[in-house]
Amino acid sequence: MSTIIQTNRLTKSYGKSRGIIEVAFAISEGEVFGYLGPNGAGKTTTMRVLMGLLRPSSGSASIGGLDCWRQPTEVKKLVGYLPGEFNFDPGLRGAQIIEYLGHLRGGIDHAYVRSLIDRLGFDPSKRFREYSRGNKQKLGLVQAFMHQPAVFILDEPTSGLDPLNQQEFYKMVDEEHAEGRTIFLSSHILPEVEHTCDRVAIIREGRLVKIDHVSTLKDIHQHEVEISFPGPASIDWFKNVAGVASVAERADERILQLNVQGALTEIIRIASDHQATNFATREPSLEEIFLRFYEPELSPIARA
Amino acid sequence: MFRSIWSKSLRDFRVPILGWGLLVGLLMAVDFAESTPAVVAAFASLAPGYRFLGDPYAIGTPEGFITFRLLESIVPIALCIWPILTGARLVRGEEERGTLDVLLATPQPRVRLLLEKIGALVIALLLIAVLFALGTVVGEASIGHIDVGRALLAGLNLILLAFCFSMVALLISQFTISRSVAAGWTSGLLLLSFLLDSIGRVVNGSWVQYLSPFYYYNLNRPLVPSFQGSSAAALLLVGLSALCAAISLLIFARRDSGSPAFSLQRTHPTGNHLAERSLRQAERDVSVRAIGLQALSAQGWSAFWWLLGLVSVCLGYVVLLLPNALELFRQALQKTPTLAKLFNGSDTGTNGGFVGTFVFAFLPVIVAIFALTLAITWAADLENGRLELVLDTPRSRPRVMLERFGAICLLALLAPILTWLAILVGTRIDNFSIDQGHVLAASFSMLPPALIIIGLVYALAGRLRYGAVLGILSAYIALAFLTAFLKGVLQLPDWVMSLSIFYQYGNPMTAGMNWAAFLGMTGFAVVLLVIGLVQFRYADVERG
Repeated sequence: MSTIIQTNRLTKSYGKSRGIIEVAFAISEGEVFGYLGPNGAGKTTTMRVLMGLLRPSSGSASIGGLDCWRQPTEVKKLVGYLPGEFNFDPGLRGAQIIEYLGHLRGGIDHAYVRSLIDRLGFDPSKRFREYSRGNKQKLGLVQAFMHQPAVFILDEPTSGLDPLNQQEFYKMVDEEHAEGRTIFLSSHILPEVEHTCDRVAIIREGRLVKIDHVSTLKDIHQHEVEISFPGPASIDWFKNVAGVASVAERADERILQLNVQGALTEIIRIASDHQATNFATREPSLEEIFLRFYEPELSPIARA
Repeated sequence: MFRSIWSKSLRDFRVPILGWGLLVGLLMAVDFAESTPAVVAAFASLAPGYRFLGDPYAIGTPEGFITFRLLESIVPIALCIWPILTGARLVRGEEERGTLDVLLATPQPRVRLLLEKIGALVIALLLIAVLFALGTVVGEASIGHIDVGRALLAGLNLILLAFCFSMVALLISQFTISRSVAAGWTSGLLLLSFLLDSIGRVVNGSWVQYLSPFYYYNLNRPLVPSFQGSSAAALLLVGLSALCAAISLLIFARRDSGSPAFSLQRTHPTGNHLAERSLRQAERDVSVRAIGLQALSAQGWSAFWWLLGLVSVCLGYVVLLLPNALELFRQALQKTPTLAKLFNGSDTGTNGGFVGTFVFAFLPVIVAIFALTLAITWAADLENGRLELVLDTPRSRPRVMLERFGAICLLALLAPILTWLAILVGTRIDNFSIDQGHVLAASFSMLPPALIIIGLVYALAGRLRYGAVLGILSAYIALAFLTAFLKGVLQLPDWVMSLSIFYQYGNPMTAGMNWAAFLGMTGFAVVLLVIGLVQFRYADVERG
């Protein structure tokens, strides 16, 4: 498939510690591409450079073969964009804002807009100032999807949405994906990215640190496992099992704590052999994975 | 400074305290220094024609003269502006910004929170009164008799009125969704109460003035030793303020944070029905079809009020003031060299010259401020991220900017058109013979200075923040006006004078159309627009 979004050694520096440094990736047509990173890592900066709102300090970005800075108007004809944070004339009603942006995009299919509004349960009759954070986000999604663009650039699309609407959003993404459209979304919620994306790029402190398929990302995904036994337990039971990063014993000797990468089948089998009474797993947060990922001396996983 | 709400609020007030205090202090000092016996005598003969603006009590003394000239209209009205804005903002402003919730989340009772803010405002006003008194004393020193006590009392009387209106603004803000609505209503009440007091002075047997806080303010004139003041009137102002504050406290302690005290419940037919109706309305709505139309509609109401004010000022001046004041002023000018020096170069001997001096010396400034308020929304929208979604649509940046610029210019163009029509109608009404060609020239020559202000906003907004743009341009307008207005007194070099848009405007009422200045300034505005376009084309769109 052909490349639709490409950045080439893209750098944007402003302020002291903000910006992005030599970010390079290529997204193929029809791909759902996730952009992961903690707050302030440079996700929004990358997206705003792609939208022609910021001028690259060096390097370049293109969408559909068009340079994002030199041909921004043509680029925007291809894109539906949801800003991470947006504001509007507080006195305008939701319906007026949708209609206004529709006109600026050269006309929209009103029936399709109504179906989007219904799906997200958005009330277009209120003024912008009266909308809650979640409702502003719904308005942002409606305006990004309403002209059925070839490319979606969505900056933290589910932030502020309730779980029902998050599910509805995932469905919308799946549908657009099925129709061959390209989606570039940023997030700092790992399960969301796993659920929706084909490939993922991880950015930290302005630099891309990893681009890979989601299945590969899952390999760095660890479980924290806590197993309780009826009697004293031994670290030796688990320490040589494949995928076990670390084992520790709790104070009362009956509980073991493990960090496991990959499948848990073998761990469950051994635990069962020793008549385990309780088996609890916890997925570490993205931040914890990041910390392990960037501090190789603390984690054998990162060395792998 | 950050230990308590009152000290933090007082810290927020430090610039206005200094700014307003020094402004009124300086005004008093300068005006006392200027009130030589000759000037006082000249104005004493003029004053009866201006009873509408104030009561000429003891007008032959410097204190009576200053009280009449400054303390019965200009200074009290000006000094109410900041307290009204602050009163309206005291809690409603924080609610609009969403910062009140954070304050209310701390273990501070609401009543105490508001009381501390009111306390800070009282201290701020007292400090302004002290600066006012200081200026007055300096001024009194120049004429040879100082009375510190009376100067302080005059300051106190002023801030009583200002505090009263600020508490009215606070009370109104409990019922409104935004602080600007509350400030707008209170400003309206301020002008109404001034008007009621004026009617009371002019119309015999009138009772409407008793409704006006201004009337009670004017019952005390501490600067004038022979005037019998009324402490009851001052107490009444205090009582009115306390009443408004107490009701505000009661309401604020009980209402929802972020909502007006009472809000009309909209009757929802059904959610879907309402949604469908608003979507259909939006589809028919012309104002959302283009950026320019949207800008026109967004600023329509504020432009309407400005233009209405402008037309009223023109009509009021021409119909009410001109016929009465013209002859008196001519006599005063002949008798007073200082006045003649101030109006040096203006031909006030003819009707046209008089309109030029008294109408078109100020209107270009009002139109320039009007243009600034319209254009500054561009800088505000850029800073608040309100253009974020618009700039994500396939409209080029130059087009977005040009459409907004065009809409603003169109609204600004209405000002000269309506001024011309108002003066045309006004002079017909009182049969005042005047060169209509010159009125046309003077009206339309106001456009290029306004265009320059708009151009400056667009040229600066690419680089500077909203506050900086507003500050720089307000200061420029003030300086440009002073340079042009005091040209006879200041005697500045030509190149400095030529930097003032109002000096460039000149006096088309007597000199006729100055095409060189008109085209030169319009050309300069176009250059500024091009600079703005280039800046915006290559600038990062930053948010807040």
